[in-house]
Amino acid sequence: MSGTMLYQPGKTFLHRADARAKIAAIIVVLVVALTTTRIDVLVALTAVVVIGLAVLARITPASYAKALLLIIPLVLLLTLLQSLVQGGPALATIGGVSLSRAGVLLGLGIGMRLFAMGICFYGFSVTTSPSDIALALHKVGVPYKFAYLTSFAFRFLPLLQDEARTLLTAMAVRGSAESSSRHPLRRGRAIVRMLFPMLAGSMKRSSDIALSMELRGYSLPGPRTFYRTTSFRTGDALLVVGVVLLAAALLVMQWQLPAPFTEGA
Amino acid sequence: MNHLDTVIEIDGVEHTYGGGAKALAGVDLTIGRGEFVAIIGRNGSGKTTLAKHFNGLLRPTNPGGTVRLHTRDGRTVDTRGTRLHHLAATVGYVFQNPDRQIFHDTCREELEYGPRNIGADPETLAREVSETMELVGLEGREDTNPIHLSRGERQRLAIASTLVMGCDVAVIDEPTTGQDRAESRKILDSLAHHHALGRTVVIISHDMALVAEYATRVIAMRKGRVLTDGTPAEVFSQREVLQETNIRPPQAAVLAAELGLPGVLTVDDAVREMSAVLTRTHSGPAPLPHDDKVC
Repeated sequence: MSGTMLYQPGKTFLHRADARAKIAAIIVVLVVALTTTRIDVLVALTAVVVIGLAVLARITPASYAKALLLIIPLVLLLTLLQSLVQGGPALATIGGVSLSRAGVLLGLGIGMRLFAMGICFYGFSVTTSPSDIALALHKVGVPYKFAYLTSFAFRFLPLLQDEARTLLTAMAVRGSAESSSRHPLRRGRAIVRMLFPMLAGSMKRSSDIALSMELRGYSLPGPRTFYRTTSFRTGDALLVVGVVLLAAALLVMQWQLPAPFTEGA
Repeated sequence: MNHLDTVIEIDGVEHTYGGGAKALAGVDLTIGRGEFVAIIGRNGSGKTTLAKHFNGLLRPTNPGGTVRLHTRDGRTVDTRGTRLHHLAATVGYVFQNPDRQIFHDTCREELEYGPRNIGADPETLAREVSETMELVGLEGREDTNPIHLSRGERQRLAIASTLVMGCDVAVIDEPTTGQDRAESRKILDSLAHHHALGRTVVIISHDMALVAEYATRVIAMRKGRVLTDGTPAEVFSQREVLQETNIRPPQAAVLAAELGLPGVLTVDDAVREMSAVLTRTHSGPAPLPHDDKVC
């Protein structure tokens, strides 16, 4: 994890776009990603998301490549499991165990699905400030308390990252090679060791913050005012329409084109 | 100080943070083996940034700046080219907030963590853990979950988990923040015991009375540079210089200086010096005028 998951102020189209439009766009991408397991459609979807972020928010793949690398072991594991449990023709047979072609395709497809969704969420959190998220959710009818909670979760991320960094440093200062190891398993052990104190610390901190918010009048009945404003502009509408059209194109692609790498293809 | 006595050697170190703030603007100093050093200065003067250079938590940002550690086995290590955990056996560091450095379910495991990492002898580790728990006044709490300790006890546990490693230098960032006088004393007393074993202790503190009482050397920082450096008596006698960084020497020292009694730092010193003066005036040839009235 790096600090880059957090909101980074900017002036690009996606930074200026209304958070409601961005949430709508994410929902469309999620629907496409979750309704298909066709690898060609999912690769195209991922490509659309990558290009979209590069063009509309100037976010290059380099900025999230590290996070994607963390997902790769999970994708490989999924592919292996699917190739063992799915039936159909074998792609390869190793030591008497046959790896199903359909299973491999399914595993890789799920991997692409994770990539597309992950990159999409990354783009959203990097271009949308927590206050805008709260305001947008409130505007679409979510009660303020819940809207604020959501934005608070985003605000809490940097605090958690800071806490995690300090704990890992505290381990290194006491001679632990694990906490700065490049070996994923060894580093993983340090992270597991760190989780409990980090969660305990976060709970303590959240309860302090909750009390402090209440002491300053949070959740009092009556109308509340907002400092920030948001307006749904033509550009925002175009963003939603554009994403819906792309999604439609992908669905057409799924119906019209035969599935790739199948026996008949 | 000859080369063998030096444990940390800092040359021309500057440090600029990512946001452009220059926290150290050229620091040269050496820390000797067996010193009890207190770094003082107002907030933002560069105290913590300097201390974090002692074990490679931060590295100089100027190419010419170097921080070298002289280890017990005679090696000289440049922190710039060495990973943090390799420096852990030489310089230990205790952060301000104990809750961000305690991550085990029992105090014993917490104390064993560091020594195990640096290859401590398992035969003697149990004894060292008990001794260190005793040193910080937590004896008998070995199997307690740190969650159930008070804030001051957790602070002492965090300090103990570094002291037990037997590092040449233990750096403790604001060990007494938020503690009452009794708890602060317990903390400083454990550090004094550790110091008495021949180890070097470096603290960052705003409590001038405790600094005057425990430290053997005081380094005052201002705007990323060393403002003055010397024994507590030398540093606290420079009242004009210290005023530049809003530091007021301990009250006992100020009072004694006003009364013309140099070298007084603590209330105990002041009582001793004043008793001596009073004894002299009572038994001397020229008693004070009001003494005549009493007689």
